[in-house]
Amino acid sequence: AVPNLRGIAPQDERYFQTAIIKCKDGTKSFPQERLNDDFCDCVDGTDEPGTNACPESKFYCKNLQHRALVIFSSRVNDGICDCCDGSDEYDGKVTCGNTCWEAGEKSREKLKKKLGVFKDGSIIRKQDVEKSKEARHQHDEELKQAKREVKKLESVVDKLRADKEAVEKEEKRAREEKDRIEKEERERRERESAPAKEESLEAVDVSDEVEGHAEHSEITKPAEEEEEEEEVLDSALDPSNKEEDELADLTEEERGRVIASRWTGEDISDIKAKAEAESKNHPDSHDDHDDQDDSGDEADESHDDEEDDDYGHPSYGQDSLLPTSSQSLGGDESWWSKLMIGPSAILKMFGFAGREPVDISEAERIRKEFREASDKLSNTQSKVSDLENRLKQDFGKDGEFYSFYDKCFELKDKKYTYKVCPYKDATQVEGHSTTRLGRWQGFKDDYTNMVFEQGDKCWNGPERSLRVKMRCGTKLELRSVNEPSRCEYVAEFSTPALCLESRVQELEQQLVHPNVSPDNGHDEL
Amino acid sequence: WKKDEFKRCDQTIFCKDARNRVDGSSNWFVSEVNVTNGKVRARLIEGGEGEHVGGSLILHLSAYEEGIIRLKVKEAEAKRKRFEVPEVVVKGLEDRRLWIQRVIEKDGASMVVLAGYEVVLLHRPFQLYVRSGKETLISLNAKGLFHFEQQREKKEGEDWDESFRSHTDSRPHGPQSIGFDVSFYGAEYVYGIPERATSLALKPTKGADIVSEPYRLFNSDIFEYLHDSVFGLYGAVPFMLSHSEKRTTGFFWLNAAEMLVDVMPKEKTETAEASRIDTHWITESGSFDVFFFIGPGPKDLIRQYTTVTGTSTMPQLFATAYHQCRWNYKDEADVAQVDAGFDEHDIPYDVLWLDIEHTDGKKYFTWDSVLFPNPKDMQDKIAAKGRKMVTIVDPHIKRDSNYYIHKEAQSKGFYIKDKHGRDYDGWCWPGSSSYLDMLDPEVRSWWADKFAYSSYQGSTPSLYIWNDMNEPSVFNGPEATMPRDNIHVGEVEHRDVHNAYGYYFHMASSEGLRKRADDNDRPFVLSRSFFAGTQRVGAIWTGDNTADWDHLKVSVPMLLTLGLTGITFTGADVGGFFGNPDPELLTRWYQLGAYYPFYRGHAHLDTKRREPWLFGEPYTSLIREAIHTRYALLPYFYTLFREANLNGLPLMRPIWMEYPKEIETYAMDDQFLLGSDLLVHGVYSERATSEDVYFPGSQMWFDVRSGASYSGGHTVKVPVIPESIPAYQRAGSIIPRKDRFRRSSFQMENDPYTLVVALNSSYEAQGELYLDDGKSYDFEKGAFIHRLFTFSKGRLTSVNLAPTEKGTKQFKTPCLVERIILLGLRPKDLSAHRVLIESSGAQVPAEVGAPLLRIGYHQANSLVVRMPNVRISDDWSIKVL
Repeated sequence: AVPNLRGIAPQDERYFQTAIIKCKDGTKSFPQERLNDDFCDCVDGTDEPGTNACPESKFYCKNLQHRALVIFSSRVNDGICDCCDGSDEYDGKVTCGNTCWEAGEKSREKLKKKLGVFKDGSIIRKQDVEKSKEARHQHDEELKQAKREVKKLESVVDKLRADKEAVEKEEKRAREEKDRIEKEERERRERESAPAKEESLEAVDVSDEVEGHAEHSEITKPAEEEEEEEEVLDSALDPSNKEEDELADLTEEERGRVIASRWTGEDISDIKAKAEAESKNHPDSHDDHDDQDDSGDEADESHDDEEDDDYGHPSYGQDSLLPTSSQSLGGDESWWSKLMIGPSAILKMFGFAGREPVDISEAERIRKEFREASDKLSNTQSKVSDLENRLKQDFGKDGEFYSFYDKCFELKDKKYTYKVCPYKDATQVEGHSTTRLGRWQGFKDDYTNMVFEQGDKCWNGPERSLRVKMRCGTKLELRSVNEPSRCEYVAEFSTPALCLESRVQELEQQLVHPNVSPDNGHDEL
Repeated sequence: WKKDEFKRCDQTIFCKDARNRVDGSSNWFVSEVNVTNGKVRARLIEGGEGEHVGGSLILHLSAYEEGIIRLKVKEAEAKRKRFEVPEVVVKGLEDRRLWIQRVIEKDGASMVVLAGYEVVLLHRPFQLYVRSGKETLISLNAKGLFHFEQQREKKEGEDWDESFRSHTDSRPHGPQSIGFDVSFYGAEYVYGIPERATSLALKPTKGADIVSEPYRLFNSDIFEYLHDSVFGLYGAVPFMLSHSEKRTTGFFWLNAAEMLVDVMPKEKTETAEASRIDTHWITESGSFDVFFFIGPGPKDLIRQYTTVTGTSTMPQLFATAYHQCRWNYKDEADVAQVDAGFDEHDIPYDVLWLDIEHTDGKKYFTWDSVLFPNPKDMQDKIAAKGRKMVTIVDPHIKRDSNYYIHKEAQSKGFYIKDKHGRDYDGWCWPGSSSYLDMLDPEVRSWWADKFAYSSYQGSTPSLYIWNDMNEPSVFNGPEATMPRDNIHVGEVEHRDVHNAYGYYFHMASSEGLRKRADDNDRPFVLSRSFFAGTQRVGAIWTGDNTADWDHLKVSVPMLLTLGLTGITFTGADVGGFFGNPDPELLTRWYQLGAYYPFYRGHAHLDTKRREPWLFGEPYTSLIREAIHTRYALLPYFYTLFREANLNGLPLMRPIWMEYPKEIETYAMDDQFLLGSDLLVHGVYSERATSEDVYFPGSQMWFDVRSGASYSGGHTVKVPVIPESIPAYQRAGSIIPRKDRFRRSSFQMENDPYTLVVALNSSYEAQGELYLDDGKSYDFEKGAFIHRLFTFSKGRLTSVNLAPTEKGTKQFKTPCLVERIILLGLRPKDLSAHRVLIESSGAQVPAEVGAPLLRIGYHQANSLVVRMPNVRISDDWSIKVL
């Protein structure tokens, strides 16, 4: 009998000519009349290539005038035309016309177009590769030169440093001499002017009063502060409590948004900040020191970040009593001495400011030269490290990505602007806010993808990341950016760098000999 | 989860007071017992003789066929009518009422004698006992906790306000709580009162050394719920069952207000060696309308309960297959890609779902014009493959003056009002929102019309609906829901309606789908919130679970509990909603979910993509296999859905429902029965190599993959493989399957059947198959096929189970039987080479093979009959030669 060869690829037909046929997995054999008898005998589906009886079998459609196709057995006689020649639907439920010629034409057109792009692209690619070779060579040269320059500059700077140190040593010696004289002069005067002491005592009284005030507030405050601290600690232990306090201060709408954000991850920091601001009370810090907003705000901010250790810390009360100018002063002296008699005030008071024993212009000249040479050195050094950093990057097999190094590619998509900067980072800009989608990680999958990771963290989620899928195109163009999973972005990008000569040949071959492609194989373009 | 956002019992006056009440504190007595209109009527008076306090109550006792007793208690002179929950008790129930002729007065009690049991009303104190012969089954107020706060005027200076966090409940009608105790005699365990994530057998909440909240029934949108907690979740069914070797009894309280139930530890009774479980029931308000069910068996009990609240609606076939969901499939291209992904990987699915982001600004019945510019084209493309889509429609309506739903609802006065009589304005997904008053039949009818194709722009006949957030969820409301002093139609307070609100919304949506298709297309509406009666309306799922092993495990007792309380079409989100399951957990979830009545994969917005093919091999193949298992079993599932439709029986059953005398199974909830014939045990831990499976009964169980057999009455440590979770077919059963693989259930319509015959020790087996067009209501007019398969004395026969008189419609199918697999044959029968088809006289070959196509011949322990090709709808008999 003639075997029923439905669903079998021509090259496999010989396998089914024998009277007893082996299942391809070797488990058992079946007589030829069971080939395509609509009952599954082989687990691997060898006996039912033309029916849907075996889950594992595959159906081959010849699709003459187009491309042959292998489909899952589940598609055979399921009422949907999968093969352009209609051979997968033969039980009469539906009639599938033969659309292979049209489909073939369409696909050939597509293929031709694609081939055209690849051809054009590969020419551009070649040029780009040449250009980048040159650029690379030039950068290599620049680097060598810069390195030589660094060496030179280093010795210049070393010499100038020695000069400068010598001069400064002399300056220091002169200053010490001056200080010694001043000190003696001051002691002498103090001994002579006893009546003046009363004035300064008065000043001390005033300051005592101020200090007393500060002490007073230090004594009375802790009670309040401890309480407050306990509360803070409590809420730190039980975050929900804290949130409850916060929620209580919100409007209906704000409360709704806070709760909704648990699911959506909407940014509600504005509400939270408001809630915290309202739930806190600083009765004295604001009332007493209207002009000290700055310091007050700073304290608030540190409170926002973590549980508040600053509360109850002794310096807090003091700081808020101090004028801002005093805060820049360091040292161990008490605050009022810093305020009342700073060193420059003393110099002015005693008229010592004018005397300079060293030739100022010479010293300044050396310092200036040193500064200039140092600047030049560090500029050249950073040029070296820039170039080194650039040149050590991975620019693809043929250096085809060399020109990407200092380029960024942008795409405006509705409210966002996406900016992809290879070898650096990728961002998403909305108005004035910029979100980093990832830092450069390198190429993946044989230079077909650029990967950016460790971007800004998502609410309740991962750090953002971006994968840029590249394909052949004559232009450098960021074509689309999507976010298929929350905070995992995928971009499509066309570039001549992906238009490989070898693919051109493949496509030419395909155009001449359309061969079997797997089920649902997607065209690249 | 945010525990502090929800009230503890001691944070509400009524609950705190009730819980502190001591046994015997109730002081009510019965007088004026008489029989009117076939019911027992009596007066309840508080206080001792002569020390009459407060008003009196009127009691009505009635009985229905099959062992159902109903007790109603009302205030004799009510200041305000208490809310009675409508649309829960089935319309025909009164037809089944028994006409009580007389009461027997004896020893200070009134007794009503009914078929096989009697109800005893003790006069002083008021107590009610249901007895069968000498055996007490169930009682009310035996512990003396009955308490009925009668409505009254506010006293001078009295403050009825009650605050919780930043919300104040004005409680304008004051205290009106009801509480009482119910005792289950002889009970080993009690079950029911969903919804919560906890064990099947309810653990005691009150007693010496027990520190626990009571079980709470108060529908709430709980963010990230825990896998073991007494707190109530999205739905409520105030129905409890007790079970013991001798009897199953049940109790149902038709009340939709906040309810709390304490379960006391099992106690020995004085009279017998049998034990007793006391329970304490408390509500904030509403009416006293309770039902007692007397069993005797678990299935009798379910029938009794569903006689009162109805049986499950019959789903469409597609709804019983696999559903693919995610918050959110972003746009039309995404939908097309996911759809194509299933085809590329030869994984079947039937329904693709769209969550809230598909709408224009969370305005339901609209589409985001950028992301979904051509919704009809999109649906048509999916429908061309026989698949469906689902969109979400929630009950919060965006207060947007350009939104037609809002404009109409506002102008018609269809919104729930706040305590000042203004349209209540709460916050949900769309921002400022109002909520339709679904208690009002007029609003429901109006809402139903919104699903008409002409009204819902962009909808097509292949689009179905999902109702979420219908507790209702109100982000800025007290306990994330609606203030209790909000006002519904008829001046009903929200506190009285609360637990049923989601049910009414679900009902109206379902009615809408029915209307749009002129009653010719069975609705599919999935809801998160539910109440007693939801089974008549549609499916529910267990809400926002989490991708961890504990949540996988607790899904089984959660679904079993729902099934026991009448709600059969249920599932948990496969993979877990929050978080990212690792591929092993996801695979195990697909394998277990294949046996859930409702089978849907779903994921939160912030999770990684997890379509079945995204984890590479072996996971893609394993998940494909799991989903195929479901598709192969669809004929069995559909038959079980019909059984639920007819008898109320759940698909997922605790072991003791089928084996009521096997005490060791009473608290078992890591395995279950699907119907009576499949035993399923999940794999709940990483890299498990074995699971302890208990095989009930005295017959064998056959591994559905390998055919390996295990004898009943033992626990066996069975090896676990990556390919499947333990599942066994009962010896003595016949399961119909469709083993061919397709894109969706639609393409399987005419595919041939495989019958898996598992013989018991007397070489007999029986099974059923129900099928109809899978879509319309023609089955109600007789258009269905119902077959009984019997294997006995070496012969398999198929006979008709459907009524012989023809209905007005008929259903025909060309489907054949392509394969019969016989498990458990005698060795001599196993060597048979042919079978005789007695009706045609033809002989067809039989071979030794495996019970599952993909397994191959390593497990050759069954006889496979090759292509008998008899019609599934015909009478036939086949003899093994």
